[in-house]
Amino acid sequence: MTLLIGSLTIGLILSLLALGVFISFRIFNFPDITADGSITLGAAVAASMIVAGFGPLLATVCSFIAGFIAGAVTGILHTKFKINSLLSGILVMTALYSVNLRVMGKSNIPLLSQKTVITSFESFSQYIFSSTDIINIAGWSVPAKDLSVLILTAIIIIIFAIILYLFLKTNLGTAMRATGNNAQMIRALGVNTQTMIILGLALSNGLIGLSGALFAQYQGFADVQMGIGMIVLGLASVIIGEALINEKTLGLLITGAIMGAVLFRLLVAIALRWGMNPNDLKLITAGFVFIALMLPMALKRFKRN
Amino acid sequence: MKNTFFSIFKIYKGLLLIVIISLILLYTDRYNRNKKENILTLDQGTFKPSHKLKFCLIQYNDAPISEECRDGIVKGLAESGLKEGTDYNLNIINAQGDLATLNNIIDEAQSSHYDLIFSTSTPTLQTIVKKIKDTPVVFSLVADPVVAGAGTSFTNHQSNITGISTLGDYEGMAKLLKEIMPGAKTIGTLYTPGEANSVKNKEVMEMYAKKAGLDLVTVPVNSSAETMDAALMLCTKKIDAVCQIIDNLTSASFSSIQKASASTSIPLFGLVGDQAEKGAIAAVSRDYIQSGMDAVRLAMRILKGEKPAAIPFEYVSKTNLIINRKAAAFYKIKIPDKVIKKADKVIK
Repeated sequence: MTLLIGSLTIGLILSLLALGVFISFRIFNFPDITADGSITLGAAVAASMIVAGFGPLLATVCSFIAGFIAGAVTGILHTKFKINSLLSGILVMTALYSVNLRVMGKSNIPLLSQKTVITSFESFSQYIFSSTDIINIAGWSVPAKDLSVLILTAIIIIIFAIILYLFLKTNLGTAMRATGNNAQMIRALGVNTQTMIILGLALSNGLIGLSGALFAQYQGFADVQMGIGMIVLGLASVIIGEALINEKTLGLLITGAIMGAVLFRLLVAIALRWGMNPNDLKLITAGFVFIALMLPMALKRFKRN
Repeated sequence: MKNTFFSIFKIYKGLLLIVIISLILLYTDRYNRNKKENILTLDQGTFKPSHKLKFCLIQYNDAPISEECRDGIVKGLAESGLKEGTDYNLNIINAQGDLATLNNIIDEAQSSHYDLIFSTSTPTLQTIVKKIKDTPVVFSLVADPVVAGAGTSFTNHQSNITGISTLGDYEGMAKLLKEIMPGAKTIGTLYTPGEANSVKNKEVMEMYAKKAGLDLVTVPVNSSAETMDAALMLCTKKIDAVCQIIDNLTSASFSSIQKASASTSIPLFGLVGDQAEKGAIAAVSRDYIQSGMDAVRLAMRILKGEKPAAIPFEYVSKTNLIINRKAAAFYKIKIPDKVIKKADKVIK
């Protein structure tokens, strides 16, 4: 049960990453590798601000802003300096490694005795479950704290998803989506596509930074190497989500990305539970993504026959 | 509006899958339902456990030193008098450098009710400190457990955690350097700002170098591709010797450092065992296999009834001095006989 709750919580936290990747990768068709750097940036900003004595909520908001700026830089490199999309992401990601070290001042900041957003989620358990510490769910004893972190994280992610949905439905959001779909058409309507790309990447990396901030607070430390491979994780979530939904409506795609992230962590948990050889972990992870990519195609062929 | 409403049903596949997988996960966890605490009793004389013990070893990544430490733990358990398969099972899990997976692994370890958990490396310990509060944990391969958050000092620490610190023997290194090269005034090292242990090691090296009357010059390095350039730059900074501190990056790319120091004829010393074989004049190395065996020794004390809270953290109990005479001849350094007598291994 602890494993299930842990996986769900991490899945939900990383679903913000998935939403960020969804914006850059799916809405703008922009393979944005900045994610590896901006998730660490979010963690670094949040951790160092919390340690410096700022409120955890303020620190988390600032990590969104930091990610937002990082994404904007990638966008500017791509649109104003005409640097290839993949390359501008790589440039910013590489630069962020040094920035992150600067922000943290060292490579690893522990947050053990600090007050964080997650600890305030934990203390919220007294309002949800009155003062019981251990709750019995169908025979499993579950710490009330963990459960309350899961519930509040879920609520927050749902709120973010709704805000994102509503935003992408506004005039500005529609223009952004149109930029990814048909840049020529939307330019003809008088929209500056460059601004749209910069704004979109900024928003995407802002969400990713936020995800990093929550992740660092959840696991209790920020580490300069924590971003490695995160883009793959985000992409996998988006793709698994699409395979599940098999539909192109905005609301469904957003829901799909979140479900994809949660599902991905659950699959990893199952793989761990079944005691597979630890050295095969990455291979199995790649296998999951492969299946998610092939499944919709296979299903279609199956239906046709 | 109608469409939006009905589209809700389209996510049923995803939700269903999440629910199904969650249920599978819960099904595999069914033994933990209504579980009464499995209280461990040991027969002190013959040291036979009352039930088959479940151990778990959690590793963060694949690196030579973490493999040595793992081998040490396996060896230590084999020599402890317990029999694998009948008395205990050891489950080895490796996160392959992925922090999100590490969190999953530690949740899994928490819910599997192991009798005791071994861990190697700092990120593992940090996550354990946050998540595991009751199962006894013995860590190893952590340079500074206090910085990792396991406690406020070696004696005052989180009640379920104890273990072995593998901070390098910088004091021994500085002394050795003075013995071999009495005239040395300045030494240099590369360090990796991205690794917490590297920064810590640099500070400790600085402290002991100062005590021995040596200045330490450092050059940061961020990737193995940069190592060669950084090492060449270090060698041009008017140093008398390169004394490479321990971290993952430089121990993996030590050969580049060796090439740079050989081409500029600056004597090279190391703190990892195989560096003497790779061309360092001498290496003062913690024995990482021993660090695993030391962890098992602490684990046995816990299994025999001591509280982890009462067991202070320890340093690795064994340090090896390895001398490479060929390298010494190359750098035209004469190694005093008393140093050679002290050596655990001499490469000719």
